[in-house]
Amino acid sequence: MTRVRRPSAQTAAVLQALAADPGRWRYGYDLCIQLGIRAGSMYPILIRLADRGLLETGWESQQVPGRPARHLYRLTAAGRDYAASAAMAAVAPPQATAARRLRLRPEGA
Amino acid sequence: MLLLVVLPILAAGGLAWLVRGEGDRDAPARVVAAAAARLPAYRQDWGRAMVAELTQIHGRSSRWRFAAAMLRVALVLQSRPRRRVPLGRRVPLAACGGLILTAAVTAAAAARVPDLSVFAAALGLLLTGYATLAASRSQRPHLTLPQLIAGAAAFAGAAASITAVTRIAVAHPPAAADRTHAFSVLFAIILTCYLALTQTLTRRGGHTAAVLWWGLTGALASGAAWSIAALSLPVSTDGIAAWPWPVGATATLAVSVGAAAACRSSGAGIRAGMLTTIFGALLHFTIDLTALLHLQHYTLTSTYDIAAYPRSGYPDIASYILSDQVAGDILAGLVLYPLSWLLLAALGAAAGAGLRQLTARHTRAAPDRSRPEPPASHADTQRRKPA
Repeated sequence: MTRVRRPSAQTAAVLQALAADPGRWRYGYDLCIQLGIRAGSMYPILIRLADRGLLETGWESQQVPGRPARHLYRLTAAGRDYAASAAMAAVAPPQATAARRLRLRPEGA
Repeated sequence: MLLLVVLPILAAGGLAWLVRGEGDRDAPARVVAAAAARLPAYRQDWGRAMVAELTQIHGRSSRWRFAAAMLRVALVLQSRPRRRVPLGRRVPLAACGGLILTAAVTAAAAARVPDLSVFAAALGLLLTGYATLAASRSQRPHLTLPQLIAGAAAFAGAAASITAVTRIAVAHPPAAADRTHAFSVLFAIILTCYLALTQTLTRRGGHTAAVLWWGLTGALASGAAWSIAALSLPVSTDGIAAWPWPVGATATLAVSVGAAAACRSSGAGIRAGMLTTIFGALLHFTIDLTALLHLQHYTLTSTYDIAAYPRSGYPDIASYILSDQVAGDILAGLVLYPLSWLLLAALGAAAGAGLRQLTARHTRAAPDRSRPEPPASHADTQRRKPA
């Protein structure tokens, strides 16, 4: 069984926000506002996810006069799988901790 | 002194350029645009994304916070993500080999020229650290030809300067005595930085072969001028001290202007000027000390030296003069002069790139590749319709 490497708390939050509505394209700054993550942290996270093929990027198709097209993001199929695995890994306690709890539990408890 | 005056002026000018408004772009927009422009080609999409995102942010403080964040992101994105590679045996080999070599050279120096043993140990440890770091950063060390030539030239220059100091230490041991070991360690740090810098300058930024040849030509030209001066003019107890700055400055300026114009890149001009500075400084150090060592009679000429020598503790005038010159050449010849030459390299490179653009505009040569390509239209870029 392959082990899912646990992402950082901020990366996990971004993944969950994107996975909440996987078909919807999102803007980077809107994610910053929603999650309370600074842009200086958000963009490296998005870039890392895109580099790993977990994030699909695109540009706005409708031209708005006076401003350039904005960049859009949504999870790829691999990204959705990863987000689900990461969410499960976050819920499940680490095996070593669980085993230690079992050992420490008094007999008959 | 020149640096203390010019650098703050340049910094203030740069800040003023950034902060001033221009048309419909405010200062944060200029900062983000400047940060985006510094991104490598394969990250340009992300630069455009940042610029576009700023148009949706309102409020002075929010825009400034976003601009500052994008500056930080641009710095982070300068380097390609490094793949985690198995280190294998290279790192322990480099570390152990370097340490063994350092111990052997230090022991040999302690036996033959004890005054240089601290320098030998410091240089060995620094080079071992550099080699270990280089081994840990790449899967397979791959040196290009310009890197090899630049490394060989820098190594030869460093070896020549060490030889000059060693000859002084052998002929006049008190001249190389360094009670605080400050100059020994500083000399070792400078040589290591020079070697590392030549590798960096010929590895990154493109036009590496042209940068190398321009840099080497400038250094050889200034080396020839210093050699002619040392051979044809009477060498005083100040060495050829009247010559280093103007010759080095002229060579650096000429090289940076020429390389920037030839390569159509101010970055290439700066790097070529830096190479001239490094090789030239090592050449001057060697020529100056060698010329001084071959003096027949050492006499004190300045009133300060005449007054200071009896209290200096040196057994003879030759040792006093040589010691003074070695320290002066390390501080001025390898640190202060090169710093001022680097400033000239930056100015020369800007002038060379501007000159090239001006010439191209006047001659209307076609195709004109000196002008930056227009940004790709949005239709050219990856475009998807949001769901």
